[in-house]
Amino acid sequence: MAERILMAMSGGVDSSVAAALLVDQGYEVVGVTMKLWGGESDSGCCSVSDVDDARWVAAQLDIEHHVFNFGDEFLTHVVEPFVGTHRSGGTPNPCIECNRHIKFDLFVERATMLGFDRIATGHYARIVDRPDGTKRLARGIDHAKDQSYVLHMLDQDRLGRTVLPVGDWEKPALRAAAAERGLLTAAKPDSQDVCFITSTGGREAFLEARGGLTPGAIVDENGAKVGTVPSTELVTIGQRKGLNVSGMAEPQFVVDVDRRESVVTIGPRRSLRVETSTFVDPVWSDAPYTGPALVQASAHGEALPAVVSDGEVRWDKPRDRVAPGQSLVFYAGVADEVAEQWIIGGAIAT
Amino acid sequence: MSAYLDHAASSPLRPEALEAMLPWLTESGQAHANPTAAHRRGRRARQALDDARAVVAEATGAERGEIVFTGGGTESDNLAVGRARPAGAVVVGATEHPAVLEPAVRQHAAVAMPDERGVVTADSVAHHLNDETRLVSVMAVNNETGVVQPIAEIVDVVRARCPDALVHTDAVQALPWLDLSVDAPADLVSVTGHKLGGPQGVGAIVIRDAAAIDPLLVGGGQERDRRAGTQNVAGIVGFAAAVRASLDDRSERLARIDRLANRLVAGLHAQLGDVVETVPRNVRVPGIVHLLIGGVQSEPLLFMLDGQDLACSAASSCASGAQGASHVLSAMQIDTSTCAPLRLSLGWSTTDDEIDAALEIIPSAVSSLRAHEGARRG
Repeated sequence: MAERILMAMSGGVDSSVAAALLVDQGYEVVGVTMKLWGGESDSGCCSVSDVDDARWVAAQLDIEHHVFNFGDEFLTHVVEPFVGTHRSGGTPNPCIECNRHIKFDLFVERATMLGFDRIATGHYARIVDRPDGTKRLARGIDHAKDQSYVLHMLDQDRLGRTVLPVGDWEKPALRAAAAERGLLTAAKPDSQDVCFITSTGGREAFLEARGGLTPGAIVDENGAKVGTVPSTELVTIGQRKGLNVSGMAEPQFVVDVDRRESVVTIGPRRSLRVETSTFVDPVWSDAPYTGPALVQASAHGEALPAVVSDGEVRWDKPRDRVAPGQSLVFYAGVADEVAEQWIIGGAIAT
Repeated sequence: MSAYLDHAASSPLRPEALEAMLPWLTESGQAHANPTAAHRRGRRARQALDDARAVVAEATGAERGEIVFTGGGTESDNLAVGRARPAGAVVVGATEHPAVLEPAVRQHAAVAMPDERGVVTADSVAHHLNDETRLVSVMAVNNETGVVQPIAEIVDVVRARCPDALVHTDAVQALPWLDLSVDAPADLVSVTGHKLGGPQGVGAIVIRDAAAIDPLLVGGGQERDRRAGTQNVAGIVGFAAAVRASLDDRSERLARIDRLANRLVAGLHAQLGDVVETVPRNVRVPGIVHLLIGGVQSEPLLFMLDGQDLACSAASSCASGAQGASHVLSAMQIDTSTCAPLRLSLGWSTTDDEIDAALEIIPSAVSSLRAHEGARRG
């Protein structure tokens, strides 16, 4: 009997093609769209029109399509922590929390409960078998689209229960394949930013509606007040734009955010420089790891050489401070050979 | 092996309805006539509407002139709750269908809570009545739980306390089961065809003498100026044929479905353990069985049942197709965090074979899900 796969279909082109590839490969595929966010949204991953698109594509592929409502869990595990991290002065990554708690936990559990062998998503990353017998998450072939960073929490159990059909596709070829098959979503724009944040209101309106925003003072490194910001929740370490401070001898960056006192400290680039970054809540693809690694600190940042030890990353060369709340993701491999890099683990920067 | 136990969502078309509709769809001379036309074909179509109106009047205990055909239950509810005149304060039951609740919320309606059985009692309604009250709306039979509401008592209370107020009842789920002339003596009554074997998209509202309606659709004068637009002749004829058939076989059908439903409930009790009927048998219609099944969640349960081609429902489905929380169960203060609400609704076409199928499919799905849950919790 064919292996049964529960395919997460967001209504976008990537998961549409992923579903088509699995059907081609002879799997028994059932499509599911997760209903995550009931509030206002641009066409992110949660709107009724996206569900309709996924349903339409499933019909084109002649597979069943269902909707799972994980709205309550999304609120608890993704939206509320997103607000909380902003409130405490950090910079959250809600897509990572959604993958950690919803797509690769609740959804995987649901699939197992319903008798499916594995789940699949349309993420750009590859699951590879290492000579040591472990499965590892490697970067997608299309480096510009690589999403391994946001999937770093997948452990051996999850990697063994997941299929990522588009990880060895380049996006232009994937769009061409979608168009060739006449899939409804072939020309649909890629989703931008966070699915529950609208382009019109942005994070500002979202946080404003959930407890308000706090204005604060901008001070220089000597503590002298040099300006104000309308909302300290929205200021990120390393930020340069939007500070409206002039007359400084050199460009100024946010070097610290004190949410308790509502004070933002700015300074020159060199004040951002750090030799180490600390972290909490590490997760490992296999065994816990200490030693040299390439460490990436944002979804599209560069992975820089460093040494990972207990709760700390020591950078080979000083770099800008990592905003608390961001994920530090540890890769194995060689800096120049991006496609060969694979994930060891990851953690939350403090 | 399969079973269709979702009649409360939509019942299969009765053969009587199909037969009655076919000439109006296939014989061009009749199908092409507008019932307002002066020629003989138009008059024939108009006569068909009059005949249909008489049937719906009989079923609702109304006069023919009090029947306005609509596009279904939602339109009828929207007309009653949004457009009844004179407008004023509104009282609704907490467990009403969204087609009543949403227009009621826009009018800042007072909400009468049900008791633990889901019954919105006359006392509960009376509590919210005052001199400003102009409309009271309580459904005759709840679409999720099948509980029967005491409409006659509610009407008495409203007449005594607020003689100027109108009473509306959404009788969409009641029409297959109750005698509306006795059980729904309201000023405004919503009914629809597809819950008893008529086509979808055709319903009616009874607008009794005391009531006035500001129409939603104007321009053409049809339905005595209360609902403009050319009538759906075939649909209305099919609706009436289904109502006629439903009136004719009511006592036999109710007894048969009561027996089937009892067999279903008893069989599930015997096989599942930890399953309760949400409302007592003596306050619900025979065809709607609402259960709370312990140790499973409704979304995966429905998925598994669908996989075996057992059609039924949990709570309400939202526009995306996702399962939403039930405002009905919430109003009854029923906690569904550790059990799955399941609505199994029977109707004119339900057979013993379907009950047999359900008694195999449901226990097998539930035990598989419970086993997984048990394994996960170790």
